[in-house]
Amino acid sequence: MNKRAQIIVITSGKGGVGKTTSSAAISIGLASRGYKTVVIDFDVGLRNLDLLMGCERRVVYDLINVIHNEAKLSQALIKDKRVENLSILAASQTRDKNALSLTGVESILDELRSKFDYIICDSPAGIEHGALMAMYFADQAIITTNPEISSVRDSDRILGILASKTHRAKQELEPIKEHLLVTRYNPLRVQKGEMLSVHDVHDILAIPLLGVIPESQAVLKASNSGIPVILDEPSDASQAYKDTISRFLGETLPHRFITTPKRKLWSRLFSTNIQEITAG
Amino acid sequence: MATAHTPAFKLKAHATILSTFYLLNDDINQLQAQLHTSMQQAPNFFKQTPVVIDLSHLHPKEDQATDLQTLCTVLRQYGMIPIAIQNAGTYSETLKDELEIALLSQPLSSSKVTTHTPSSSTKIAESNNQIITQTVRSGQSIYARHKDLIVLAAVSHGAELLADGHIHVYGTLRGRALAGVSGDKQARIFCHCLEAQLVAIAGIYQLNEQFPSTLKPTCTQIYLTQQEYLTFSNL
Repeated sequence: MNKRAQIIVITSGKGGVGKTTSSAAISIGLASRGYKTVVIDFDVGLRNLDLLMGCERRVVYDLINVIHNEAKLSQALIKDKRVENLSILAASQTRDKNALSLTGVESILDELRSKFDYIICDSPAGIEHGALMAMYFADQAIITTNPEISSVRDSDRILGILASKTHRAKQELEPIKEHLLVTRYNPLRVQKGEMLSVHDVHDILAIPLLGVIPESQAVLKASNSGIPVILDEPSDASQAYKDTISRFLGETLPHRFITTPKRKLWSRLFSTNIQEITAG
Repeated sequence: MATAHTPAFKLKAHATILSTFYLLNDDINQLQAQLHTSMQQAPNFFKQTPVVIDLSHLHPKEDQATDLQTLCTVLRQYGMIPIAIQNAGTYSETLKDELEIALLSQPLSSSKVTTHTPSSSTKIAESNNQIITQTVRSGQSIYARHKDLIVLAAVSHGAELLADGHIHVYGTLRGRALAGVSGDKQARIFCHCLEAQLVAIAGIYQLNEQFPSTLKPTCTQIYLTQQEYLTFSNL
């Protein structure tokens, strides 16, 4: 019973880059590898994680209820029906982020630490109170970034905050372990110069690359159906998230889905002909 | 009749910037020599300049009265107009009538400035430095006061480096770098890869888009020329 869970914050600074999708995927991935995992939605006031996890109808008590001692932690934790070892702690839709207090968050995390192996904190966008609450006690951080300049800048800002304003930084403990997760990657658009390449993003942020998730129709489909994309087995996004989990657990795997698929000879010839004709 | 109702004058208090003349020793000959060289460089530099004489750097002596008389004459010769005296010690009461200038009981500017002015130039020259080993992220600002700043990692877009001395960056410089922020025009910026948003030396700045087009984004130094132009050169 001497467990001490690792707290992992999934953060980005910018909104809409795939924090919640990644939180859902990573928590399911870790749980299906046999680790007791809990995923907490810190986006108080908006509440997306339970929708993505397909458990919005089962939310009775939420994070804020527990912080205000209106419910016990065991009452608020929702067990996932598909994956063993996985629990979800939803955010409140009727409150705002100011309802989160440092002492409240700390006491919940302390209680969870003895019961789980991994605590995944799904951070809200921005760099304000809510985001700070989600990252404050983290041991590791997964920085979710889209391959575009504003997202990379915001991630850079978040890395600065992780290194200066969190518990580990203030207590001068070992710094938070940082991982880079590039999402919505489209090699074709990178080739056209419309997106930054993984190399560029990695070069600017200068932290270890954990995974590259391709831009995929499967992600949108998954969000709307409440079945996290990692469970959509044949999809490229699912495979990429599984690789990511493996790397997180220490395996060395090559990065997939970062180059354009090789075109067949006849199609290449055909398109060159078209170009020649239009050029002529 | 009209003059009885309209006042002939009115008094108003104004804050006026005055030059303070700090006498650093009582050698009149040395003073004259220094004034002479300054005059040769800029003949009109002292012309019609009201000055406050400050004696805080001198030890009061018996024969100060005659010294001060000579001092005022010398200053007037070079175009200055001595209007007041401050920090003249215990002998000041007897001095003011003879010299026909005002006696300031409180120094116009704080005496702390007087002790800092001569020492600040020596502080910049000290080979002091501050070393940063981790990436400077956007939103972070680092100021090396009276020091050189050495960054061993990259400096992100939106990050800011400030130093009174030189700035060295051994990663890619993408943010802003401002060297010699307290006015040291000898300060330089050195970087391994220049992609900066803005660089400045002693307040003279240039934006990325103004950088010379011939410049390669490799090892670069940036310095000020005599004419106070920012000069970039690949190393």
